[in-house]
Amino acid sequence: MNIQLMQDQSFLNALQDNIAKEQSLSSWELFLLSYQAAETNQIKDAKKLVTPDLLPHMTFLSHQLDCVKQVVEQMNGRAILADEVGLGKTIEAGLLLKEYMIRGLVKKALILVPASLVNQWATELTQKFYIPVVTSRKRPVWDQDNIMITSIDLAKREPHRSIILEQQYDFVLVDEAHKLKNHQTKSHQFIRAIKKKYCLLLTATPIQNKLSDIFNLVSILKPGYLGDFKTFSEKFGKNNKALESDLHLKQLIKQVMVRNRRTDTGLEWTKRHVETVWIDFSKEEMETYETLKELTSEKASFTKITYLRELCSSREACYLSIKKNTKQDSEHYQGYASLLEKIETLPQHAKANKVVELVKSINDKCIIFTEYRATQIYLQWVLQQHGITSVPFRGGFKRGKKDWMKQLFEQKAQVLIATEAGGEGINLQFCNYMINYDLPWNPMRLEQRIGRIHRYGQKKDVHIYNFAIRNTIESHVLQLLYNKIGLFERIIGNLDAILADLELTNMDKELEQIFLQSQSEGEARIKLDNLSAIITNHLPQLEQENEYGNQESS
Amino acid sequence: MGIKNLHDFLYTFFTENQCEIVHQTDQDLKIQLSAELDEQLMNRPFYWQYVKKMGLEGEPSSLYLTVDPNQKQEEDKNNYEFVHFGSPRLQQIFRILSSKGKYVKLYQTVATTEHTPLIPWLVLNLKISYIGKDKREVLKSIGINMVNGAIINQFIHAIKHIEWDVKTADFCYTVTPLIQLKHSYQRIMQLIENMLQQEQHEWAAASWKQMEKEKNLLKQFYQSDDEGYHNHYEEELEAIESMYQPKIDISVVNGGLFFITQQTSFKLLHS
Repeated sequence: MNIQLMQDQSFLNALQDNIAKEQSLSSWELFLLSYQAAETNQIKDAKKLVTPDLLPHMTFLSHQLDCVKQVVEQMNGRAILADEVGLGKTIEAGLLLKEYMIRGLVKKALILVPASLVNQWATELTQKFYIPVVTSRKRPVWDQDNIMITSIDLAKREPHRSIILEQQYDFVLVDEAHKLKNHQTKSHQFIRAIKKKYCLLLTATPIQNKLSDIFNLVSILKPGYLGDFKTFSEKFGKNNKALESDLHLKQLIKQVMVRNRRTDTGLEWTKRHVETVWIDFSKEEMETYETLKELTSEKASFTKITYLRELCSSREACYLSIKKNTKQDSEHYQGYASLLEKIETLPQHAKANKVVELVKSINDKCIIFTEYRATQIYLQWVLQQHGITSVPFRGGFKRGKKDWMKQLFEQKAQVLIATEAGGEGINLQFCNYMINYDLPWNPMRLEQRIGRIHRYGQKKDVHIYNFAIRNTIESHVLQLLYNKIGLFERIIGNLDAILADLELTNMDKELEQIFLQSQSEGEARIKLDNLSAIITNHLPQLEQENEYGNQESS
Repeated sequence: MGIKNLHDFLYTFFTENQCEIVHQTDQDLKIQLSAELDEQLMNRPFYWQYVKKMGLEGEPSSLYLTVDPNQKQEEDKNNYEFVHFGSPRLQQIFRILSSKGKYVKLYQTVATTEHTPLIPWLVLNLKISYIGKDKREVLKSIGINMVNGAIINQFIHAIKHIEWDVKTADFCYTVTPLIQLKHSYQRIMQLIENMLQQEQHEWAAASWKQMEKEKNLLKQFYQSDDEGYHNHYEEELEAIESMYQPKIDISVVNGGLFFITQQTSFKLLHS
C-alpha cells in the first residue's frame, strides 16, 4: 500500500513575499476568525453526515437520510437510487451532492435530466440545498468547474459530446436512468464514456423488461460487480424470476442499489378518492357515434377506433382528425362527408357540460387531463364562457412557458388543462382535484397523471374523477379493465414492472387489437375481461418479487 | 474552538472590515458596508465598474442580518436575511476570510519603559486531510521559536488571550531569527510528516483494499468483451484510483510571524 502525500505549495512563498512587501497582512482578529471558520468547517468525522445540520429549513425523512448514509458509507458514491415514485429521489440526490461538495470532494458535476425537468432540478438544488447551479443555455460552457444541469439529449449531441468527454467530472447524475438500460444505445455508451468519480442513477423502475437491464445499469457504476455480460446473460438470460431465486444476485444488487418502497417508509399518505362520472351522450351525439361505428372501410378501420375515442372527447377532436385524413386520402373517405356535416351540427359535448358543472361544484384548483389538443382548446373556450379561468399546459411548450403556466395556475387560474405530453414531471401537489376527461389507453400514463398531485408533499386527500360515456368503448376500457385491476386505488409505483413482466408494455396497441378483431361487443368484453384477469393474477406475485434491492441499511 | 456565537462572529467580521454597525440586538445586525465589502458581498460588479470609471465615490449598501428569524415579526422577516451555518452568505464570508485572514505579522503588546527584545515565532495552522473512500480532517496549530527551534503544539489556543498589534510597541525591538523563515517552515512540515508516520492508517488500508477489489472486478469484466461493451478500461481504472487511492493532503489554513517577549515565550513553553 502507498499513501500519496500532498503538501501546500504556495503558502511559504506568498508569506515571504507579503512580509517583505508589508502587504495583505491580517489583523489578529481576522486571523483568529479565519481559523475559527476553518474549525467550524472541519470534517471531524468521516462517517457523520454534515449536510442536514446546515439546512435548517429542510425536514428530511428517515428513509432519505438512511439512503444517503448508505450511499456514502457502503456504496462509495456510486449507486442506483430506485425509490418508488414520490418518495423523494431528488431530495436524496441533492443531499448526496451537497454532502460531497461540503466535504470538498466534488467541485465539478454534470446533472443529466429530461429537458422538461431542467428548471425544476435547478430550482430544487438552489432553493433547497443552496447549491449554485448552471443550466445549459444556448452556449453551455462545459470546461469550467461548476454544477451543470442539462438534458442528456443535448449533452450527447456534437459538438457538446466531445467536449464533455474531455472533462473530468467529480459527480455525474442521470435522472430517469432506465433509459440507459440497453447497452447498445448511444445514451448508455455516452454515460459510460464520461470520466467520473461519483455517479448516481435515478429511476423508479430499475428493471423494466429483463434482468440484463439491471446488469447494464450496474455496469455503468461498478463494472464487474455482476460479472461480465456473457456469463451473466448465459446464466440468467431473459429469466426474470432469477432475482427471486438467486440469493447471491440479490445480495450483489443490494450493494449498488437503494430501493425504498412506499409501504416501508411508514409515511402517512393522504387518501385517494376515485369516482367514476358516468355521462350519457345526447340523442344526436349517440346517433353520430353509431353512424361512425357502422361506417366500414377497409383501410380506415384502424383509425376508426381513434375517431370513436375522439368523438367521446369532443366534436372538434374527431372532426379535425377525420378532415385531415379525408384530405390526404379522399378515396377511402367517401362515406365520411355526410358524417362530418352531422358532427358540425352537434350541440355542446355532453362531457363538457358535465365538466363545467363539476368544476363549479369543486370550487377549488383542479387539473383536467385530456388526450387531445383540440379538446384542450375547446375546453378552455367552454370554461371561459362560464367565467372559469384556466391555463393550458402542453408538452410542446418551452421550459420557460411551462414554468410560467404552472405559476399562473398556482396563483391565478382555477383550472389547468393539460394534454398527455404535459403530464410528465411537473409537480402540482398544491392542487388536489383531478378530472380525467378522457382516459389514455396506457395505464402507465394514468399513473403519471395521478402522480402529479398524489405525491409526497400533498397535504389533503386527493379526488380523482374519471369521465366515461355510457355504451361507448370508453366505458368498456374503464369498467372492464381499469376498475377491475384496481388501477386508481392502487398506490402508484410498480405497475410498469407488472406490464413489462407480462410483455404488455404496449397496452394501447393491445386494446386497439381487441376492439378491431372482435366481431361483437360481447367478444370485446370477454377479451377485456381476460386481460384484466391476467393482470390481477399477476399482482400478488410481483409484489413479492419486488422486494429485491435494499430498503434500508440492514 | 470553532464559532461559538454566530452573532459575535459576524459582528467582529464586519467591524474588523471597517463596516459600521448601525443597529444591533442579540439576534440582528444592521450593517453599513464599506465599499470594499460591498464589492465582495453584494454582487453588483457593473455598478462598481461604473463608479470607478466615472471617478465617483460609490454608495455602499446596507445589510440586515439575523441569526434567528423566529424572533421576528412576520412583516419584518423579509427585510432580514437569515444567516446560519449552511447559508450562502456565511459561505461567502468564509471565502473572504480564508484570503483576508491568511497571512500575519504581529507583535505582542507590551507596556514597558525598558528595552525589551521580542522573539520571532513562526506559526502555522494546518489542515491535514485524510482522503480515501471517505474523508476526515484534522487541524494542527504549531509554533516554532525561530531562535532556538523550540516547538509548541496548539499554539493558537495558547496565545488567544495575549494582546497583539501590527506594530512593535515602544521600547521593543525584534531579535533576528537564527533559523530562517524557510527552514522554520520546513521543520514544522517535517514534524508533521514524522507524526503521520507514527500513525496507524487503517482508513488507508481499507480504502486500498477496496481499490484492489474494484480493479480486479474491472479486469474480469473486460475479459470476455464481445457483446458490444465498448472498452473503457483505462478510464474506469483511473476513476477507481481517483476514488480510492489513499491520500494525505497538508494545507496551510493561515499563519505567519509572531513576535513574543522572552517571558511569554518561556511561559508558553512550560504551560
